[in-house]
Amino acid sequence: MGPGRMSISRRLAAYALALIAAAIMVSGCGGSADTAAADPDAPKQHGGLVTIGMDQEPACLNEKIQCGSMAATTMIAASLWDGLLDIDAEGNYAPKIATDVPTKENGSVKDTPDGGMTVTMHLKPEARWSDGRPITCDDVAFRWSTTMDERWQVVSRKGWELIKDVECPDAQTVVFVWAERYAPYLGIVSAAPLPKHVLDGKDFNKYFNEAIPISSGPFMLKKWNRAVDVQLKRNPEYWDAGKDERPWLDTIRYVFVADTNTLKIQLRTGEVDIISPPPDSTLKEELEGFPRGGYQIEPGIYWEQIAFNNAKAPTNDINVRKAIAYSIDRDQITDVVLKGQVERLDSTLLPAKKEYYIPAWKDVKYDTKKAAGYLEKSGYKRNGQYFEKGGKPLTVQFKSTAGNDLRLKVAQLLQQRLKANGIKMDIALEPPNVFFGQSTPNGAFGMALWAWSSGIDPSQETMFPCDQIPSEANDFSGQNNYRYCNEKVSELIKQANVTTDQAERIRMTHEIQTLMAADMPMLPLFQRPETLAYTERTLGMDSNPLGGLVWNAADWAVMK
Amino acid sequence: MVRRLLEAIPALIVVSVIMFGLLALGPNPLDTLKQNPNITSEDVARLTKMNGWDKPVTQQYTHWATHFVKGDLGTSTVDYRPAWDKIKERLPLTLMITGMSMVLSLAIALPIGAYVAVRKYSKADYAATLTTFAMMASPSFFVGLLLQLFALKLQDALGGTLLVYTAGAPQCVASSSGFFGTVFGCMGTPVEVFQRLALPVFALSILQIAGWSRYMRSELLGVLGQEYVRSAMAKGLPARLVFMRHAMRNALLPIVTIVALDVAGLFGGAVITERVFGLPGMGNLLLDSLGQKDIPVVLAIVMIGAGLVLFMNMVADVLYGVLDPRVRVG
Repeated sequence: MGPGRMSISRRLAAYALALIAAAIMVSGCGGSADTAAADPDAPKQHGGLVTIGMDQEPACLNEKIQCGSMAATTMIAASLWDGLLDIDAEGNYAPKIATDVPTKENGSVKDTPDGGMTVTMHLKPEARWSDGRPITCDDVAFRWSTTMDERWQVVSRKGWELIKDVECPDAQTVVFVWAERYAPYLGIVSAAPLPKHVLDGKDFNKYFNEAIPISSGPFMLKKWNRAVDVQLKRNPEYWDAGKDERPWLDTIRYVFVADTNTLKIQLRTGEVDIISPPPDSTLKEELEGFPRGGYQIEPGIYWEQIAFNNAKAPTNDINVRKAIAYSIDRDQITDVVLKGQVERLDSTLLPAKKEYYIPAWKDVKYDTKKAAGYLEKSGYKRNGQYFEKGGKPLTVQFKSTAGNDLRLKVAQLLQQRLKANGIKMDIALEPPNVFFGQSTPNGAFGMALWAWSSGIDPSQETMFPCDQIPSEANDFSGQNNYRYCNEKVSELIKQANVTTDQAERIRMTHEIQTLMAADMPMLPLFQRPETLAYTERTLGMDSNPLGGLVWNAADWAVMK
Repeated sequence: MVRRLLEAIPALIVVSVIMFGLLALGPNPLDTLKQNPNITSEDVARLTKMNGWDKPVTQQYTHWATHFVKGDLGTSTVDYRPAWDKIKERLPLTLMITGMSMVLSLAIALPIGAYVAVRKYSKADYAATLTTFAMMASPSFFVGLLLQLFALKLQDALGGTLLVYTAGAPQCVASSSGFFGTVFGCMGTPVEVFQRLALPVFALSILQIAGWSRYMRSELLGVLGQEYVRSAMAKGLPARLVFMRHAMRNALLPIVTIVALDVAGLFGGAVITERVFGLPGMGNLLLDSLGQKDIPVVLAIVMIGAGLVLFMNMVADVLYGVLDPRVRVG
């Protein structure tokens, strides 16, 4: 190597080193870019693209069958299909394709002498598919027949199987004929119709999986680039465009990045515009440090709770359950684990269910004396660190899902508090499919921590009645993993599920919660916070956990 | 060569039996749906039956193996698409990042290893040793996160201009099909390829650069001490010629084997790298499929991986013959 070449290469190396050093120095300074200040009050303009970062890619685009049971598919489908009813910003049912919300009071819901009921709905005549054809009663009836068709891998038929017919007196009138009275009927009749003229004769397990040529919502599927993105385009024929000619956006693009930390960085760089990261204790602080965007945190539809095994010692003893409940500081959990993002939950229903909700567990607060009193009532005596009976310390086996930082922190707090109150808690964390597939249905736990998802209806018919305890006898059906059995509660749940009298249903639901709080089969903890984080260029963001992330996508816009 | 292939068959069978058994006997992923009170146990049982997961494991395995032998990798139980269709969408990207990582690693590791070998115990040698050990001790996900934060800071420093993307696949601008399907069709210009893949390729290369440069150093040190090198120098051959023709060529022999065998490790590393950087490669597909108990897809990926290890072993043998004429492939 000659001296001349050596010199050039050295100079090049020095130049490269200088560049790297400069980049590192600059990056170390942490200087933020001066981007143009955004004006959130700026009038919306048509056009533009919003990119949503999701942690999973849909397996298929048909959210009604098994491959579409992922949250990603549900979110994408929400912009494609309008339902007969919608969920408004306050979390209530509101008319969408239908003209009214059917109730007994407005005469749309009628009990029939055979013990069934009918629900009559009228469709707005202007409602149209994206191909210009009107949305008719035939499409609503087709949704029901498709759901019940044994050939199709429909995920849930709950509620649908009680409908014996969907009658169409005329194109704009639908009459659901129910074989039984079914109080949560709104959850069924609100569903989106299916385009009969497109789907009739097609294989529903396949036809909408890859591409969807039609929509009834503000957006249509533009393209699914497998493994890359799903793109939705504006539905130019949207029937509910209004005077603003909604939707404002031209395109919504969904991209898939499994790692939440990466998604947060992508939001900061502007590679994505919207994310909804799972809750954790530092999330709020992280988002507060994000200068070029905003965020909203609301109590979500998933609620965490401590389940007691009501059929297995020692938690089959109501005094032990109550002692544990009074040894748990739920306010400390929300303060420490969630940094006060949400408050403790005092019911098996969400406060969003308004008239049905009562804070039945509100008096269950951390109280060492009460906890000790309950244990002494059951013959336990404190001996050093722990309460004992028969020479054995009171020990409870706690189980939850592994890989969930939030639950691990809750478990650690519980363990500390229970220990301070003389109760030994052994922690076992399991993979989610083992936990949900084996431990909880088989009752292989003393205490367990998991979350239920909650819809808009207050029905809890699979969770707490006696006949919903999974067992060999019922082929492990039902979700009463608590093995809780109070005949009166079971009967009330059953009655509340079949009455069409709203006031009566409210009364019964209140009584159910009061009775359950007294029995303490479980202890509600908190609603998991739902976070909507976005860049400053996006307009119209409005978090609505019950309605879903994209509930108002037609009103979204971007600043030009 | 044929003998080697035949020898590999029992290994492939054992791998497939173990993987199939672990997946089939494992819990039902549909059970996690039970978190939703609207999805009943009957719903889960009905869907389990539709997936064929209620049949005896031996029957499921026989069904899979019979089709696999005929070249049919099966159909995904998640979206009912042929497993090969799913893999061929993802394979090119994984091949691309592992290939680029290999080239980058070799291009950096070999010169560094050689440089510090001829300057044994110099400051450069100590610095390289320290750096490579630090690199070996850094897990891929951690390196990935650091690189992403670096990109973010760089963007701030450049007034909001994003020089390299922190994650994700590119936005498709043109339709594409065939083996080099969606992902390559989306890649766009070489500049965009660089912007998309710079960080993941670098993250994936860290471990290889560290490992291979250490091997290079140690092999070269061994060779440089050999008598034939000293003889060559004593004959008066130019130092550069002795180094390149006698020392390097012999030192590279074991490196070839290590590099070939590390290719399987690179694929393993790609699983984490693809996850962190949101790249739609085979690694991400494998993780998703494992979580969804998508047995045909998981097994297809595992068998392709096993086949790749076998193939790279053979490549190492052939290259050995090229580099050292005394060795001939039997």
